[in-house]
Amino acid sequence: MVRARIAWIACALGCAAGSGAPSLAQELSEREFVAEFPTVLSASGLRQDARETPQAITVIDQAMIKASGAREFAELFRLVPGFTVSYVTYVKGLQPIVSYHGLGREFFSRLQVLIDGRSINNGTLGGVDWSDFPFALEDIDHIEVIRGPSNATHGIGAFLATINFITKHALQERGAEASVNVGNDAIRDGSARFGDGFGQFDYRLVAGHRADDGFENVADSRTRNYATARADWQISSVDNLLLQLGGTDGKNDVSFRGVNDPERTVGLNTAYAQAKWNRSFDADNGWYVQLYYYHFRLTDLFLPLLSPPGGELALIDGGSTARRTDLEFQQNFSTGPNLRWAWGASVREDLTEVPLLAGSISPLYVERLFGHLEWRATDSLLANIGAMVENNSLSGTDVAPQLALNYSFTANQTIRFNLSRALRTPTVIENQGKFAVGPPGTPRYGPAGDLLPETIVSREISYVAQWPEQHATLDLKLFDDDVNDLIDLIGVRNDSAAQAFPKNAVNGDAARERGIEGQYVWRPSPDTMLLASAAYLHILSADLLDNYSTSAPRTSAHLLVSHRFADTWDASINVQQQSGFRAAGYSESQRAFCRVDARIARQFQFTNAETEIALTAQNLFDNHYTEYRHDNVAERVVWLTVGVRLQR
Amino acid sequence: MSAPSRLDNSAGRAVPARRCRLLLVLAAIAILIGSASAAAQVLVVLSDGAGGYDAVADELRAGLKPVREGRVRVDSVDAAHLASVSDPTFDAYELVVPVGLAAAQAIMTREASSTMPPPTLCLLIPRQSFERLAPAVTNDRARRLSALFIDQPISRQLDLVRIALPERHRVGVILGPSSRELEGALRSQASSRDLSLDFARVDASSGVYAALQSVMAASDLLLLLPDPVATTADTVYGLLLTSYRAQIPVVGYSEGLLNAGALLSLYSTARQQGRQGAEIAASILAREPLPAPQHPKYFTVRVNASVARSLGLHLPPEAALYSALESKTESVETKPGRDSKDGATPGGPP
Repeated sequence: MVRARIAWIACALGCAAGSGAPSLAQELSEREFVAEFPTVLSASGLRQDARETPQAITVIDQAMIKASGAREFAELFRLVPGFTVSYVTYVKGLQPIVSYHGLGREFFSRLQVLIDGRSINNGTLGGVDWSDFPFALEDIDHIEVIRGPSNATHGIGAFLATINFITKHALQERGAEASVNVGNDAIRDGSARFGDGFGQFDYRLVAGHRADDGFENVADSRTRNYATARADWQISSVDNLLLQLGGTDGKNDVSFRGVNDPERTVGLNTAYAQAKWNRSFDADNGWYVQLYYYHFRLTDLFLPLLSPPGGELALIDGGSTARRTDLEFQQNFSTGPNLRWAWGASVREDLTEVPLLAGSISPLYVERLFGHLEWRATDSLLANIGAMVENNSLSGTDVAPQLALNYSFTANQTIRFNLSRALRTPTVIENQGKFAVGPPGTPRYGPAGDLLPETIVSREISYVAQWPEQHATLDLKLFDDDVNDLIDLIGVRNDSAAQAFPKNAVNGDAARERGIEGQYVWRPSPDTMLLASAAYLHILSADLLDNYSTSAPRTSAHLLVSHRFADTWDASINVQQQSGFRAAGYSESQRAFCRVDARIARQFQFTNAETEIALTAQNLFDNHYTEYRHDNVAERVVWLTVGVRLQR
Repeated sequence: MSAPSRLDNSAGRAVPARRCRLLLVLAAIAILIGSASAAAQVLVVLSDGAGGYDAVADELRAGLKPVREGRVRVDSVDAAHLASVSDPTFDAYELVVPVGLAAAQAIMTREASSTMPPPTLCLLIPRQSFERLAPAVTNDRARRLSALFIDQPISRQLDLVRIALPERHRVGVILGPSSRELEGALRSQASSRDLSLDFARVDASSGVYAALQSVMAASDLLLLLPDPVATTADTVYGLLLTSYRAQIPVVGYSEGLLNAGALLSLYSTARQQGRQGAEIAASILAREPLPAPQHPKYFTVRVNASVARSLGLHLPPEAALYSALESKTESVETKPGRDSKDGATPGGPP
């Protein structure tokens, strides 16, 4: 009887299915309306609107990256008000330097740089290896630049500013894509990527090569090979797992600086692994746990040109290794429609080896606890209150609080008041490094420093206005910052000022930074974009140990205009001007300059492929200004890009 | 939890708290002596035992309680067990209410063998699915078959776009094999609302990303339509993430999409479906002619406040969006038959 019924039902269903209707799985039913979907936009993944952020923020998206005519990551920050981009060519070879409001040195900026939430600041001196990113510009979704201290929200090292690269999700742009750059200055770049997925698992593979000759008449050629694999796995409607693995392998030529620092080639290798488990219940509620590992190695074994007095010629190991392991937890939740909370904790271990330094270096351990509250007090008043407590094995425990009030006096105009204190933990080398200065065999070094973290107290008043009809946003920031206990590595210097200090590194100087900066973004139509920015910065410092007061350009301005013609042509022009400055730790000034970059591109659409051919010229008028050093002379660089994307 | 308050206008109906004891006794006697002429029998057929279907059945039961002095009996059976209802029992029902597509399909199959099937009111069924089922029946049968669609009229979806995001005029739509049927209605409804539509068509889920790229280039808003190929658990992540990263807001059609990250969603809850279903059922039990198949008049508009803030969009409050849409629904309902294709047909109880 039961069997007969089942047969009857099966027949009935079969008849229904057979009556011209598609199979049930492909047929629209009420299931589409009641289905649960994974939470795509989670609390930690949502961007804040410019009017609601506790600090000034600049967002660089893929359209701006393309239009800017940039070929390398560091160049993008020319677009951001208050930023300076320059280049050095010794020790590690050609290395970009990116700084905000100056104070930085060659290998060392007071910025936090994150890629998908993992800090890539080098564990030795705290700088960033801008040439060693294991992906290409095309793999970036957008970059958030937080112009101001933000320890409470961006963690350890978010001192003068924070740069957060967000790479494309494995889901974005499936299929195969390849791109090649060929130009003067021996530019030979190539990258290829492939993205696909099955079910709720998506992956993306990127591999590439970058090479150029650097500055003319300077031994600073560089080559990099890189690869990254990324997987995004939506395990359930609330659980998401991000896995990333990547590395770079490269060589830099290093120019001659002295008989003990001869011209040579150094090797650079990086590797990283990241796992992030994100559990999100809705846009305001969820948590994540993240573990990452970052490894940097500089291989630099060379013979000096002269043997030490009375000694044999011996190999010098100028290399270094830095390994970072970081575990982080963060929870976001809301208690009512007007209160959103975030809190979390992280632990980090930095292991560093620098053979050139006498004595071994103990690991640096940093623990961090942070909390942040966003309180919508009224419709027009938003308060952001946060704090970070950091404890590290070098300088103990300290607190970095922040308070920001955003008052919207009309629907599209906001004034922000931000008061914050932030810390920069000394790096292991600053605190423990004993530098061998002078000819090998006769090193001079003092005792390890007993350093305090650098601190900044930042006061900011900003005005943000939007014109939604015109798709325009203006952001003006007025700031007055006190930076104290600036750490100076006097142990590496041989001058009289340094001789007065017996230690390697001291909390020597203070600086007061005041100024105004602004940016205006206007998209009058989907085909046209205008981005303008300008900054005025005045640094006041006693300059006891270094020339901090001249360490950034007093004025800088920038303009980017791009337009799309006839649906297939893109043209953009990028003008940059900055006044002269003298970087910290260096005796030469970089003179004022103005340069113009331009790009023109044409797309061709085929049945299953999309092709783009672009011509980019940097420093179009061949202005021979200098970058950091007098012998780093800028020249016109032109290259052709051919990109092909196969659609699936 | 800060889930935005739901705008659900299905106010709970007051269940008579007390009844006259005499009436109870009389009712009991009437049932005992099997006075079938006065007691109505309704059969609810559920597509499966999932929570959403139960909510519809519960609401239906509650809504039918006051009808015929409380003498409506509502039986329910899963579609899979429909065969256990004997032919005489089935034919004796005054009204059959299949909930969901599978139940509707099962009923249509069952009725094909019945000489005089009872009137049927389909609930929780997409309009296209209903229309695909309905041509199979004869004219005579059609008069005894109606539906309350689960989907919102296209006019209401486009009105929502206009009211919530008046600055945005370029709407991107990805059409799958099923939603492609809506293209004509979308076009005709969009032109009168000063909206331009950019369509991309896909035949398989794997083509959705390329389709999204092509519509995003020309759109400042993405309208999602239910489609088992274009909008699925596999494609929604990419659709929402990619459009969000391009700062393009998404308008969805379900609570699930809203929670996942759509800026806005317009939908009817299971309870709202049940409530309107009960009203239609009551009119049928009052021997009124079967109303034409109709779109829901009870609906919910919700805004994902976090996503709106992040995109820097100032939207009217949910209550204002709801009343604006409701007033439009009423104004349409006073002009019956204007566009029955779009479901602006008057509906609901007298």
